[in-house]
Amino acid sequence: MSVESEVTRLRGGDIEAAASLMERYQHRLYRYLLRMTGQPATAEDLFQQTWLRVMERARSYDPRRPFEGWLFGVAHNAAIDYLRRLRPDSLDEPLPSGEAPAELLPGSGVDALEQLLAQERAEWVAEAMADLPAGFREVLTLRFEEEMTLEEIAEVLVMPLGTVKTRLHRALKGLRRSLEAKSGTGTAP
Amino acid sequence: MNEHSEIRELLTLAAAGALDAAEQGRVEEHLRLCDACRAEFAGWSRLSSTLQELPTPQAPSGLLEQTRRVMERRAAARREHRANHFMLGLLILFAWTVTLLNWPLLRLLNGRLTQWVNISSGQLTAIWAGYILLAWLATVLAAGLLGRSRQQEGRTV
Repeated sequence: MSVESEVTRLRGGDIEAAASLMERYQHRLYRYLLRMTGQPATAEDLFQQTWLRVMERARSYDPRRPFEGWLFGVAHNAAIDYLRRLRPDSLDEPLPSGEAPAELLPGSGVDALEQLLAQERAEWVAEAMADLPAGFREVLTLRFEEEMTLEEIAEVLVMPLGTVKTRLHRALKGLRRSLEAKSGTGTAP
Repeated sequence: MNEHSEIRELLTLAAAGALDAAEQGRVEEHLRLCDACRAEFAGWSRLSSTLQELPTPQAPSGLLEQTRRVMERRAAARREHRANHFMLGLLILFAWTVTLLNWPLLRLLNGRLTQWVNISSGQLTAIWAGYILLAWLATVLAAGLLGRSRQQEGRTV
């Protein structure tokens, strides 16, 4: 059954349709929430909250828009609500120095970076990603794991395209810095 | 900022496939001529590839079923909530109708009733007022119980 027909049934309050959509998106949604929170138990809780909100707000969903973007938007709001309750400043948390991580990033460091990437596994990158502020982790997972376009990300996060671009740029630089710090290479040339 | 510096700032987004066609073309043009930027771009590209290949954490096996149960409970609670509201509306309507019809009915039957039960008109009025008061108290009690039951449902769902 297609996503469109399931969504139509969902808008009529059909729990079977919701269950079917939940099965279709379970791993991707769980991965997104896990990247956002870093804790499996919290990600599970937010997963449930997301689907409850989806059921409650299904009628307000505009079927002309992609369902996926709307679903991740609902999950984004659930995650943001949680993170704000946890720590009001955790979305783009600055370093203790007061500077954003990206601003501290050294210049090029190409050789060091290539060397690093060659020797590290994906799990290690995921660990480094977990050290980034939630706003950076979010944009990275939406772009690279969900393979969303910047326009789609802007729609999910309800922010201007330019801001998404800047955040992605800073997130990548922050990730590189985190990788370099973990490897002990320190400042790159 | 010269062309080289500007392009260097675009390399992260270029590797992430996040530039528009014009910017991407500009970056590619520069990369053909600049070894340093080409090497930098290769590094960012590898980082992007690694991010795309991160293992996907699997949702726990029971999560789907658990979420479905929560959704069913919530849907049932919502249905009951709607039914309760409907019932409450009906009861209020019924109570008001009975109350409004009561007085003309009593006036109509006043003479016959006092003869039949052998009480005075004043006593009958007092009984009537007591009856109305009792009905109102019963309504308040019912509404209170209904509200408390809704609060408990809200806490358990």
